[in-house]
Amino acid sequence: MTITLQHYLFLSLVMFTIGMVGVVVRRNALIIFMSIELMLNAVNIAFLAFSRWSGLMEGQVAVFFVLAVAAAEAGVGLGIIVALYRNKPTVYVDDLRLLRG
Amino acid sequence: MNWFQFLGLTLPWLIVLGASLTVLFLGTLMKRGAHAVSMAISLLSLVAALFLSWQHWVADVTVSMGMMSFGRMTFLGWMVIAIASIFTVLLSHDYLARRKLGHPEYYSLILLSTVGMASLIAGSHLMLIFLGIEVMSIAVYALAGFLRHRLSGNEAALKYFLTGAFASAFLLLGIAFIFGTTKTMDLTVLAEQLPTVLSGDMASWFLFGVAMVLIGFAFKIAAVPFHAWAPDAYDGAPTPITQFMATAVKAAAFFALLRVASPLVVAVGPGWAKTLWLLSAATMIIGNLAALMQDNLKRMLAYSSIAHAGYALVAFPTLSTQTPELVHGVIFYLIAYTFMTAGSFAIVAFAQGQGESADVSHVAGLAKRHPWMAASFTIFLLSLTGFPPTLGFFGKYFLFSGAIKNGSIGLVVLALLSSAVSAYYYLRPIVVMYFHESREGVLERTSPATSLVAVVTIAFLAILYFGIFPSDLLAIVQRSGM
Amino acid sequence: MLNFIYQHFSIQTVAWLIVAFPLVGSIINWLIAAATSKKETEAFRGLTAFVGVGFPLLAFLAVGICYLTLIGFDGVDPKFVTGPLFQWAAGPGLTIDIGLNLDQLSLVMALVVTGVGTLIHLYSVGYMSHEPAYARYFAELNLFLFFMLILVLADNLLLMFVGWEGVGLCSYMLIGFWFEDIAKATAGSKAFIVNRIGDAAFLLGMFLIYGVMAAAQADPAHGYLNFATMASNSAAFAPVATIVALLLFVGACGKSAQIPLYVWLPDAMAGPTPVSALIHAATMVTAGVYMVVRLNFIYVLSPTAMEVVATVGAATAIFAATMGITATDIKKVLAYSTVSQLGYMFLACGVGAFSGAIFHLVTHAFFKALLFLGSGSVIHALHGEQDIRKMGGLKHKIPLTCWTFVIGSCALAGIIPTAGFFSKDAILWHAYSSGHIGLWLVGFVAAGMTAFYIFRLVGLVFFGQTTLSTDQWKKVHESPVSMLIPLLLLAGLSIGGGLFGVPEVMGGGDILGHWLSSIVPQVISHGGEEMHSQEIVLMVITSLWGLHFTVLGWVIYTQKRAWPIKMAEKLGAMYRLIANRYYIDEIYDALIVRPLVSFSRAFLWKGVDDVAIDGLVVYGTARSIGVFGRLASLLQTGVLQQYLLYFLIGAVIIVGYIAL
Repeated sequence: MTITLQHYLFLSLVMFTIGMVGVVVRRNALIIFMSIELMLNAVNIAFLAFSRWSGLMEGQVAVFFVLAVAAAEAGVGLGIIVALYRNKPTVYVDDLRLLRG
Repeated sequence: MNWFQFLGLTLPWLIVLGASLTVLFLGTLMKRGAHAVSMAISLLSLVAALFLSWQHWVADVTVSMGMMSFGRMTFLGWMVIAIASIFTVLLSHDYLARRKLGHPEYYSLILLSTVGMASLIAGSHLMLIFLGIEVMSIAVYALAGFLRHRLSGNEAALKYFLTGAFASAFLLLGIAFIFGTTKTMDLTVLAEQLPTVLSGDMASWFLFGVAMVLIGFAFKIAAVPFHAWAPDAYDGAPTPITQFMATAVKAAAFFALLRVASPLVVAVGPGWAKTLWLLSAATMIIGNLAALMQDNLKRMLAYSSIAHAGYALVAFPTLSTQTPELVHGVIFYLIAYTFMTAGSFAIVAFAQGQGESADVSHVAGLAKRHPWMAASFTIFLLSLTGFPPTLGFFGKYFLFSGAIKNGSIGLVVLALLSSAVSAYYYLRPIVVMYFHESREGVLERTSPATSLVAVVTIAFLAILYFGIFPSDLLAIVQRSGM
Repeated sequence: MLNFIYQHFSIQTVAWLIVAFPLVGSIINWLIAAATSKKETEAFRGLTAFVGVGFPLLAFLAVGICYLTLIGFDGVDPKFVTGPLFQWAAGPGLTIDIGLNLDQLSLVMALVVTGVGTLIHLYSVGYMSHEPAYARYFAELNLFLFFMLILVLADNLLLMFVGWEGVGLCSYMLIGFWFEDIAKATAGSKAFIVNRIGDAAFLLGMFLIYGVMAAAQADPAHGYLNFATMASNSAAFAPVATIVALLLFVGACGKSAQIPLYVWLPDAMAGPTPVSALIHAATMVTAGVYMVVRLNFIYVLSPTAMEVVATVGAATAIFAATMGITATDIKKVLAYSTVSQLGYMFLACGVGAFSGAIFHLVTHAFFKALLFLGSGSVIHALHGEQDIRKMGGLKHKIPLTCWTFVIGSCALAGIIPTAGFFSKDAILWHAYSSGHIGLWLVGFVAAGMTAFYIFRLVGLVFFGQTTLSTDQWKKVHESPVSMLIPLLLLAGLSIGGGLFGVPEVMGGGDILGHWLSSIVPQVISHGGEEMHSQEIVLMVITSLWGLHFTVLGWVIYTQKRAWPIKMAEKLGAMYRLIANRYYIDEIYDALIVRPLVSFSRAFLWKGVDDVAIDGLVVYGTARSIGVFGRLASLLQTGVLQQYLLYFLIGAVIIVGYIAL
């Protein structure tokens, strides 16, 4: 069996969906964030696959940008979670219902 | 590529970037007075950016360079975000000083976020647009939780951050698929390749990518049903940052959406019109209805800002490269919206004083104690409602008459009805300000800071002046081309 | 004098001065209000009154000059005075000039607005003299006049809308003038909200007009919304005339208090009485009628819209008249009467008698302003009492108010030869002669009721025995001169104002009809002897009908009925006859009046008004909006997963629509 572009895209979309479901069903902020990372990496696979099949380097460069952005997001995101934890020792997002209505 | 010209064109934001880094280093060097100095540097750099953008606009340069394309529309967008950020910086000083939180990194983050917006507006390459959005957003995630000792601030930041990162993944997936199917991320090349792509066998993957990008943008402009983060994030964030999110962030996202959408609409066909119709209708209806129930002024304005995004979306179903009047209508509306929203949030920041939030009852008796503040707030609210001769009325007038001309009658009917409903909640603070007695001690001791008065005054004058002479502003918008 | 003005000013300048004067007056009074907010001085009150009355008077004089110019007083042929001041918005198809349009129609309106307006300002000097926020009151009233003149003189629909919203806003401020009273503030918001419903329809109609004109490629020299541009391209409206006309009519219903949007007007009586006279009787509420007449070229294209306008007008006329019979608050009676008379004006528009509508608008402005000012004088004399059942016999104490009020009532009842007779007769005759016999009958019955309720009011308030306590009675005093002068002048106009529209069968020239002939279509041809005799017969019937109810209302409601009894005793031989008449009155009372009153109380007032209109339309809207609002904010649970779920639902919809 030859591996085609479609296979990679399928893998990418499956990973993306797993991440998406993880974000919606999990309550732990850290795991939600890990699921988001999973989604971003799924996109990276798509970028790489497209880049490899079209022979354009742009897609590979894009992956580096995505990695950098994900790192920056992680920095800010974990900072927010730590600040939250200091005020209220919980990482479960459904404990946070101060703002609503 | 002429690097000198490129440096010249991006100079406004290089200055702001430089100011951002300076402020950051300053924080480590200075112990006392850092707050005032960093505020002054930020303000100066933004005013310089505004001035230089205006100069570019006057010089009327149209050129594409690398991943950016410059033109009057770009410069106009830059001016809008510069003005919105100036308002934020002005509001912030007093707000942070009262809470003893005057840290330089706050200003540094605002400036960084503004640089992100500038590249988002100028970007003609999907990767740059993505990076612009991320630079803009990541800074705002941190700013939203800047009151880090307050649980509501943490909650707002976390909710905004998680949903924002989630939406980014969608946007990015869309970009990947558009890249994969068209073999380019450059918007101009993309527009040329559309016919071939759409007739090819990858057409549905391409459309999937377009849908994903649209989702990413719908999140940024807080269109229903991607809006749910907005009221909570607006509510928990420091009021100047709420103003920043409601004006600068939203305006930048709309400018970018206009640029991305105009070539795509025709390609996508009827599905686009249907989707945008639904988005627009749902956004203005849900936004206005939810705003009715709010006692908290910040939440009320948050929903109102959702509703206004819905009005701006009225132009999108029939948008194309052949409809300049729609593009101009949206941009005119955004400018009007920026002034009236910034002004309203300034009043909220004043009414809330040291408190966590401002309820409608906080403005009771404002008319007696601070008649000019009350009069300005009245004008802002009337403008938000769409009363002539305020700027808000002409925003709606140009937008909706353009939409009617292009056949969106049903949507305009909905918009007018829901804006009639909006009179209920915009009216309430006016009644309370003028007809209710103030509660003891709420407004008694406070008098507005000079910087806050400056924001209110500028917004007030802009709304009245451009309400009476809308053609001045319209001419600027119309001469900006597409 | 006039030559001097012509030498120094162009007539365009004078035209702009008309609107500028009240604005200047308003600004000066705002400044005075701001300056004296801490401490008030007598000198400033004098200045306020001087400015507040002076500037409207100057505006009136400016209108007068324009009028003289328009009729060719200076020897030049009659001409139109129009002048764009500056371009408001420019661009392809978006051009709008800020321009004034002084033609026959707007000039008539401007004369009424500034003339009656000046008198009411003068009246306010006395009426509001005990008011602490004197300067603010005049500032708001002058501002109202400014917006009203913008509305009337605008040469395009958009500028008219600016005036339209502006008068609404001023009305809202003035209804809630007494800040401290929360109920009054709420009444203000009710007026505001009902008007918003109308405004949404108006705006939509305006956007449709814009779309039609853009599609028709009309010459946009002054913009698509210019009245002249619209009129010369009126053929383009044919396909959408009905919907445009009806949308605008909904807007007119909001402003001019027609079914079902009339609910705000009786509540608006919470404001000071001169405000009720100026805004809620003479000027602002007639804006809807003015707009329909101004845009008559759209209405005549759609017979359906005309029928709707006429039917709503007639229904409002009779419905509000029954409400007038049951009301007990002196101002509420007049408020319902205003609603009813506005209904007549729309009836006239609907049957094509646009000049008749304007005629009635003008005479109504005279006599209704008179009645409101008279009621203000009564309230002033009684220190705030408004319940007519607690009055009586006041003619002895305040004779001048009494007799001017009676004159106004005669005009309202349509007694020959007052102004009201001619204008109401013109409407009824046009309704009849254009073949709307049913609508004529409704208007005819309502005319009888009108005479009945207003003379019921006169009887209860001014005649018979008083029901006031001796203490109260002693304190009753006639109003100051500044309040009496407007009453006398308006009484004169209420009698003589009809001369402008004496129909041709009575030897008059129908001056107003000819004056407006270049603007509104002449649909009624007074052809044939037979028509003439019919017209005269109807006129006689109408006037007898009105007179009959006048006497009826007065006799039944004069308290203790002292006068008829005394008369009967004195005239021994006539006793039987008078007793008989009395008997007839009782029958009337039992068979017609009582059932009518209880019917309107039980069904129209409680049923239709309170439940259907007030409950369903106004509060129902408010309540359902509240329910939906609560639902919408229930979506915002605070739980992040739920937010993400909405996100996913939206994502699925978008992908489904775009990619599949």
